[in-house]
Amino acid sequence: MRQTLASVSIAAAVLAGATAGKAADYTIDPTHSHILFTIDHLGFAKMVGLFSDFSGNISFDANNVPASKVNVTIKTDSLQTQFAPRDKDLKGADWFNVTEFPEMTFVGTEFVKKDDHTGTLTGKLTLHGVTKPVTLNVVVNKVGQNPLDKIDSAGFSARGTFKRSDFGMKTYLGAIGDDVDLVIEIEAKKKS
Amino acid sequence: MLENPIALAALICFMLGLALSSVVRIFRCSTVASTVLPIIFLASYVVTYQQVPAFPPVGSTNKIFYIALAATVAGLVVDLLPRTAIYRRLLAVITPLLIVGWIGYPRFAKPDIELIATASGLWLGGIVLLWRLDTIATAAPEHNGGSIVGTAMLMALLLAFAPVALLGGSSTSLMLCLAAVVGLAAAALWEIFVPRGAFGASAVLGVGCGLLAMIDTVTLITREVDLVALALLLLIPYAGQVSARLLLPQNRVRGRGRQILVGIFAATPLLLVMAVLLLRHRESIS
Repeated sequence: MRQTLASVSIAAAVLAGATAGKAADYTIDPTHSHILFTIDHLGFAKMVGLFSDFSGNISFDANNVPASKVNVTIKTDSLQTQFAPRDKDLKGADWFNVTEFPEMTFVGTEFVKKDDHTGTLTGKLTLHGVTKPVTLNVVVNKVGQNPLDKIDSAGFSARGTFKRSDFGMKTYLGAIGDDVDLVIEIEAKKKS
Repeated sequence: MLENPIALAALICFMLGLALSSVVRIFRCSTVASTVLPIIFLASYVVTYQQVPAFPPVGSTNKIFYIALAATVAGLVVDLLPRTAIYRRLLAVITPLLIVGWIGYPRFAKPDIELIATASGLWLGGIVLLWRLDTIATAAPEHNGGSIVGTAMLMALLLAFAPVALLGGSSTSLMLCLAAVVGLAAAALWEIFVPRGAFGASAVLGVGCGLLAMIDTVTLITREVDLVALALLLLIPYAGQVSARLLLPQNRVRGRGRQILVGIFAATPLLLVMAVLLLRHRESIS
């Protein structure tokens, strides 16, 4: 998920860079950014979870979009699903194993621009000690100066899916879905 | 019912237990028969986690499989040796320490008093558990030992740890324990009707070390376990023998009937574990 977030951030940054026409470094604003995931529960409904503690940097060059970089780190212990016993289970050794794997990371590696506002970002997601590629569909919502703090900002949305089994997380496969759908909303602020 | 993954895993392990136990009876060899119990445990792991973890294992849950596998092989070697008392005792002392060290490794980089105390407790508890299981394995049925008692003791330990694991944040360990218990029950049924002495060092070490690895994972890695309830598991290795001495006169209850009763007595601390969990985790359970 962190990787996904990072990917989204990168894509947004890339697109923002293209719009602005100059290179820029951005930092993810955690107070206005969200990383959520949904996963099927017995076919009845999607369970929603989120990570509240994450950080990341985006560096992009509008004139050389593929050279843009993104790094995102998510603290796995910040997982929340609005049900404390389930949170305890998910943070345990059977699932996210926050003691042995306290962080998830995403490093964006490939940026492909579709048009001025959309693109895909592929990066390497490291989760549970396993690193696999994940691709996100990114929409750049807005690039410009924040009217409140006067800081140049970029906002974007990203969606993607990966299989948890690819990362060795096979607990209750069948009952609990394999596909993890990501919902990422990012606001990033330009570094001064 | 089979849509329930726990029920499905239990059914698979039960069928496997029945099948393996019937096959090993062809050989009339207790060493071969003893491998059935750890194979059932390993199968329970595979159906629970739906994988044979890659080697070398990354993460404590993956280590459980290889700890149980290595302990089974070590036990099999011991079973093949002529004089084994020293090796059995040495392994009962050393293997719990190795398991605590390997499972808890990520936390030992920043040790504190609580961690050292918990790890020491797990080591000592592991020694008690393996030592007693080995004592049961080598004791004659008239001395309240033997394969039926030993298998029942393993089942009681797994059954008692299952709710402790669930409340400790590991529903997967609950599933593994329940699947293994049902599989071991199938093996116990065969042992009652067609005895093969199927409780050698491979059974003691394979299942015993697998259980210890699960306990250490929930305690040291998930870190939500109820230590009081966990400590009560140590009553199980003694409950059968103590109860038998008090309630079963040697000259009146003998043979398989005695072993079955001692095995049932071994499970009595399960009630205490459940009572403690109900009292201490009323909110979570309700």
